[in-house]
Amino acid sequence: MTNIIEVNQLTKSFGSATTVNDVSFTIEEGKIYGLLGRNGAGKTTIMNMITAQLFPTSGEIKVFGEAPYENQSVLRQICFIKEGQQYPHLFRIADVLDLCPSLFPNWDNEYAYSLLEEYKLPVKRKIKKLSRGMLSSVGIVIGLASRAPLTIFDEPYLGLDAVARGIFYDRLLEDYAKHPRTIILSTHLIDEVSRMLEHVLLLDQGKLIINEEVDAIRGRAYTAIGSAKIMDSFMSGKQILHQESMGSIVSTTVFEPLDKQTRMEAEELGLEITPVSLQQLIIHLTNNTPKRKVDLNQ
Amino acid sequence: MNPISPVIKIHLKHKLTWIGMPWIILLSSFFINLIIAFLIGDKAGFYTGGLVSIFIYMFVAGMVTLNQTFSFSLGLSVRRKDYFFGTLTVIVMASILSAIVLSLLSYLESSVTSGWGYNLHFFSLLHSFDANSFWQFWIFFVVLINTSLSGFVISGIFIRFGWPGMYIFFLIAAILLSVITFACTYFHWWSTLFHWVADHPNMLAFDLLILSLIYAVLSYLFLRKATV
Repeated sequence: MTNIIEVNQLTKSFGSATTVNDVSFTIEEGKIYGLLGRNGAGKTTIMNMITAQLFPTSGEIKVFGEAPYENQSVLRQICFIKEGQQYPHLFRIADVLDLCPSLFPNWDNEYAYSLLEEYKLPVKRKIKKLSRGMLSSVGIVIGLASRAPLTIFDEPYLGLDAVARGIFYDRLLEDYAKHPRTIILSTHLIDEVSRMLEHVLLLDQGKLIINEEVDAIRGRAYTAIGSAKIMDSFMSGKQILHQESMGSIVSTTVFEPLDKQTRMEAEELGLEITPVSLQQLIIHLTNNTPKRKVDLNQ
Repeated sequence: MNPISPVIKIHLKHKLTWIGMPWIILLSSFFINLIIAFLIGDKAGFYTGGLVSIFIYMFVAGMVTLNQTFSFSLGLSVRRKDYFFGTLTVIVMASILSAIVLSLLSYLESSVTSGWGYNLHFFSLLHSFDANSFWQFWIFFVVLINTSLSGFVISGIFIRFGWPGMYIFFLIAAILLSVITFACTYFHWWSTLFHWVADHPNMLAFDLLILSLIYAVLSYLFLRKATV
């Protein structure tokens, strides 16, 4: 596998605040990655540094094997759809689309216009006059039609309704199958995208706390539901991520792989075992309450 | 494909900014002055400073354009270097175009229509400047490029250093201007200065050109380190 991005001990500080703290990871070619984390976890900052729009305080970034800063051969292979993308105030949707063929070598104009139609975007309208949802759709259209070898979507669907988000997921998977490329999706709508993601990078307060295949992450935890009395004995010695009780029923999320023996033990005790959804797991992992005292790096 | 061509396209998407607006403003000023000249009917000649409006506009355009298009361009995977050279190309082209039209109008005003029939001096202000057509064009060009780039570099300070940069810049500018003004008044340099300018238009144009180059180099250095 070719590494598209190599990030090594990346740190970014703004004054005394460290937004990205000693983060290292690699992104392989032809996969869909999820860059997840709560607001302010450092997702956008990392993406801005990968695309050389921000400068790292320390550490190293290589994109397509080279430093991205002022590197034409690297930058023209990237399409970064930013949540806060600025547009000149006179620009209409059509104006931006006119520019795209000269900016993205793989741009597919026909495809772009078919997407515009699907999103019912008013091509002649000024971008400043668009609603938040429409603005997000413009980004999605550019991101998909650019067919850039590295396409990065930062919160691509702010303000989009469920139908429009569905269109995005369907078109993305469809086009990804036809034109394989590397895609990074940053979002906090984890459940919706979890079926698309192959690999997850989870950030919490600037630190990378998970860097794993989605399937492996799902296998790292499970939830057991049952009466409080039985639960206590079952849980002794286990790493508890989260516990919720409703009357005498307790639901406990355990941060460790579910082996056969444990499963049998639970069945005997009459506990119900359910898989943890990616979203639940991530909420548990990034919910910084004192309860969470698990050493995540074990 | 030439990497600066998308940047040029971005700027020329709305030609009004660099080509339409300066002339809409200048021509409105011109027609108002023409009406005034007609109403006054003074045969001695009517000098107006209306021409300055195009230079003020270019200054503002230079300032606004960076703010409007820089982070947009970077967001579309444009290199800072290409952004700079693309924008510089547009500013130079717009200045050449406006300078040509200004020279033509100045020639029409001074040599063909004798002040549009009312002895109006709107485009042709100093005789030392309209000695020949190329020279006339050159002066206009240099002043246009200087005003737009000075706007551009000030905006560059903001993009690179943010508000702290702006405060420090204006503080230093205010102090320098006060000191220079005070010195000129105290040592009676004003008239010497104005005579020098009037007597050496070529040196003035040359100095303005050097200044423009300095602005360009500074803007380039600022933009290379600017973030979005």
